Amino acid sequence: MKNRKISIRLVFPVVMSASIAVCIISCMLLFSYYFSTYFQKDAIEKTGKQKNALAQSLEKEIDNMNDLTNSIYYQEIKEYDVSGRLFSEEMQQRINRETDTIYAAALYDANGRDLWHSENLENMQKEEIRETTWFRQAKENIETINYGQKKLLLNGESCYIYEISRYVEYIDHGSMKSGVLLLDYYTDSMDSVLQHYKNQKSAYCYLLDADNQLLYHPFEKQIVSGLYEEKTIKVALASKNYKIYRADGERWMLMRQQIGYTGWNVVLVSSMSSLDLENRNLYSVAWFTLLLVGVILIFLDILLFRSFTNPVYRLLRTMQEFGKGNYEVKAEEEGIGELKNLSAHFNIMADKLQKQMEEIRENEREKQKMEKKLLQSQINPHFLYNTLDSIIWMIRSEEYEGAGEMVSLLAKFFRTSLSQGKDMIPLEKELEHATSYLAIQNIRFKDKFEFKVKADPALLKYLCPKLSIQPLLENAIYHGMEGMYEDGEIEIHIYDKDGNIGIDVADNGLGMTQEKIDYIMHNKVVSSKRGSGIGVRNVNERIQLIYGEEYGITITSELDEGTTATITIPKMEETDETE
Amino acid sequence: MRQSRKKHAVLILLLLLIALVSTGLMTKHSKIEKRSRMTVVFPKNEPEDLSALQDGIRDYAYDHQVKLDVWYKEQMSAEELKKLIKEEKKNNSKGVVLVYPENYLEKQADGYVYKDVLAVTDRMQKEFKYYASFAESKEKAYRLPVKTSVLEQVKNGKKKEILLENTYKLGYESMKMKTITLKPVKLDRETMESGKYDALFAG
Amino acid sequence: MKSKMDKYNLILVGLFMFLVILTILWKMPQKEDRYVHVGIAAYDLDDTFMESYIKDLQDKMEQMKIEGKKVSYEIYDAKGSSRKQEKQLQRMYAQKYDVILVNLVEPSSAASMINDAEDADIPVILFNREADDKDLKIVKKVWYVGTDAKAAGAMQGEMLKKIWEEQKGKIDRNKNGKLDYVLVEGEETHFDAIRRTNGFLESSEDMPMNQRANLSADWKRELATTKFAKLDKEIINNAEAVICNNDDMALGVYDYYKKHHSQMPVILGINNSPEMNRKIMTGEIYGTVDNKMEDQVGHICQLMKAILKENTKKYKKVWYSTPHAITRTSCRE
Repeated sequence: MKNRKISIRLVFPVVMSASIAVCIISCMLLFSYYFSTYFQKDAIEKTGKQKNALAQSLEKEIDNMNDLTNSIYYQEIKEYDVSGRLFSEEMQQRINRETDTIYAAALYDANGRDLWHSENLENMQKEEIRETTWFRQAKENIETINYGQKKLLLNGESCYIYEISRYVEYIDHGSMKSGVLLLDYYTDSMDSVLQHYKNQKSAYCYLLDADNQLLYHPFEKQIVSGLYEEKTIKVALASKNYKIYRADGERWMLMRQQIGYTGWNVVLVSSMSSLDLENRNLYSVAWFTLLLVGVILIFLDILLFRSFTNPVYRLLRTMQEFGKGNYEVKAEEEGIGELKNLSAHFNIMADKLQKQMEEIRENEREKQKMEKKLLQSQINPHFLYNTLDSIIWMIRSEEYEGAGEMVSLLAKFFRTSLSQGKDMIPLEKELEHATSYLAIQNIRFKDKFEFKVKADPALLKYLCPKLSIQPLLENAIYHGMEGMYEDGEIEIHIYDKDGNIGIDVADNGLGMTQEKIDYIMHNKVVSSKRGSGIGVRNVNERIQLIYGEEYGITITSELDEGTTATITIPKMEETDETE
Repeated sequence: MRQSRKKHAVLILLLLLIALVSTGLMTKHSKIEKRSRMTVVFPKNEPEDLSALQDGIRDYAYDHQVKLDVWYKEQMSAEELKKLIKEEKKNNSKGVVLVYPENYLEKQADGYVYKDVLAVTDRMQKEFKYYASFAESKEKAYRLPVKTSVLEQVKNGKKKEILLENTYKLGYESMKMKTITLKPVKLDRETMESGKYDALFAG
Repeated sequence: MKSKMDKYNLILVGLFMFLVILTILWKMPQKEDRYVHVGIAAYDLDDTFMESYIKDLQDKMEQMKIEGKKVSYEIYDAKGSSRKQEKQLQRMYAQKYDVILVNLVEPSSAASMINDAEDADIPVILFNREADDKDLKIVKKVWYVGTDAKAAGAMQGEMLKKIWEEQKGKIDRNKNGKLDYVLVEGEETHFDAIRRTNGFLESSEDMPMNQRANLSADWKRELATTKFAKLDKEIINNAEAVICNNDDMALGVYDYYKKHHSQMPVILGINNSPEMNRKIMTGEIYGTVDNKMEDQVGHICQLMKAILKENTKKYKKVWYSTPHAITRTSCRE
């Protein structure tokens, strides 16, 4: 019973909680997955946009540089003869005007001989010129503007310049000749575009030239000092649009775009791991909230379940108690809706049951009362007949005195028997009754025996059941005195027995075997036709019914010596009236 | 029975409040950036051009999200140094970098053996537990930032070769709070041509 | 039944205490920085004026205590390179200073700098190199402290007028009744250069003057010497006065004349640098205008305090110090 109780009580909430937990966890997993893919996509998109913007700005700057280069070519070089004075004046003025973007300019002929150079440029030997990359490239690609290397300028500010060259046709003494125009552009315009992008270790960009050398890197000082290594160049060049890869335990995203015209590449590097870190807080918040929601839900469902099952189990327990016999117990009328009705109806039923049981008990008691009365009433007839017989015989024998005494004894006897309908009479009266009986029997049996009464006077006021001693006397006479022709003795002894009253009826007769004792005690023995018909058992039963099982009759006997029947009853006073 | 219902309501309320507060706590936690702090002391009277060294220190702080407590000192007694270290510790500073303390710190017999102090120094190496300096060189070494005139001389070949002391690197490394001695680098015409160290000279 | 109730109560109490702890952690204020952090971006510390300006600022800040905290400052020298300054500014934003004092290399690009500073939630005090009014209006937390350049220029005009009136005979060497002068201007497009020149020209409108030459020496002493030397020799020798937008350039002109042992014209500068002041007192140079650098620095410090106390209502966005003339006779120090 108990096992079944635990399993239902546990199984249901556990199943509910488990399903809630599964729900929550799958929510969380879905959420995590969705979020991470969303963030990654978002990061890629954002970086892509930035890459495009960067590339566009860089291309714009390159356009500007191209425009300027071309304008110098077409407006100055093509206009003026190199040999004239105007040429250098115009050129110098032009360069001065563009001093913010151009550091210096120079014009060389096809062999590298210096035709003109701006004031701040040194004179270089034509052999040196011919060796330079920009010179060679300009001669090789005559249509395009060539973007050379980045060089460090050692003027006051020490900054970088791009050596930009193009093939030109100049006028010398009226004839067209080919040459190379060199312009030293400050890298500032490109640098400022790139500098505006982030330059933290977790997100930065760098620029590579056509030979994959670094043109711009936010950490170039650290690279040169050996404090940083740019490891992404190879990977970036190999990837098409973007690439996410792992390095040193972190995830990085690389995006590369080729810049138009120059063949340069701008590379954007972002750390996905730091992005993950930033989002981790969002994750934790969401997970934690979901977890708490889950806990609350589980708690609620257990609570709800309990509020249903608790009343039921309480009712169950009440019923168990009831079944055990505790009829007073009532169910608590609590619970939701129908549960309350359940308990209420149970209580009604219990009440009814209790009332019925009361009735039954009532009837039982009535029955017993009747039985007792009946038993008692059984006592009277035979003795009456016998005694009347004796009286008749005595009268016929003209033993008028004897008969008269007999009649008065009988009267006394019956007076006691009736005792005004009471079932408990004082021991005094019962003794009177017993002695009356003994006297009658004595006369009848012509002094076959003698009787003695030894009674503690203090005990005589106590009550005892009516007609309890007399059956024992009957027994003593008909069983004990049988076969004794004289010297029969019967003694009634009333004494205090451990706080109770002990009534001994002792005879010195033949005695009886234990079997006989048992037989008498447990069978309905109608002693004889001449007896009163009750039996020791009956008296014992009555005593026990009234006083309880610890009291009653006990018989001890010794063959050829005698028998003693002992009644043990408690002291009960007159005022205590029981049934 | 009614009492226990009230208690259940209280419990749910508590759980909700905990959810609310912990959410707030986590958002707050994410907002406050994880920054550490370090202390740097510069000499007030600039004995030499410290811009490259400062760049190195500042780049380190930028890369590692370090907040700097910067002080310019003309004079500093041993007591004052002790006090500074104590106060900076109260401000959660992870360490103190003294830049060229020979310019302001008074000499002390037993030196300044503090656990979290590093000195960027030329002459006071023995007096500190940690120091950052350049290795001794017999020839004259040039420190960043190098005058353009000198660089030009190397580029032209007028000066065959110079020794370059990378103060940017010194500044950067000094923030790592471990003793370091940097060797000067050889700079000749070829290296200038190759542009290998150009980044150190550009602005 | 009773023990279950007790366990339940225990759980409740435990959860409640957990909540209390969490709330304390949440509401607990961040451990405050013990110092106030100030970042100073100077455009070029080689400029003697800037050098003494910053030194004065340093001294004042070391004395200051804002809200009971000492001031920790850091000085960034851009060496005249706007690229360098941009990089420095990026570092400064990352340091999350409580306030930054910026002396812009390129005042024309003030707008982007002001926006970046606002993104980083850092108040900015611009000084000495003025940005356009419109740019200053972009953000609430930007102020400018500088000089009344026009008034300074006007004072130069006044001083010139005075000495012309007093010593006309001595000064007008070529006796043409006009003051032949050379104007040496500061950095082109710099607000102060424009205004000082403007102030000078306006105040000296009514004076008979002749501008023989005009050059821009970028506030620099050596450059002034070099560019002055490139002028026509006739102009140089016959210049009766040389008006310079600042002391460094004035000293550069002085250097030139000293080197060539030529007769010194009337030289006027602006700033009252110590060297200039010495030369004025000895009579070699006529005069200069003191821009009350100490007043500017003092105002910057007060403004910083107000910014950190978050009570800047009574501070105007643009504040000028009042200049006054310095000559040997005026002797106002």
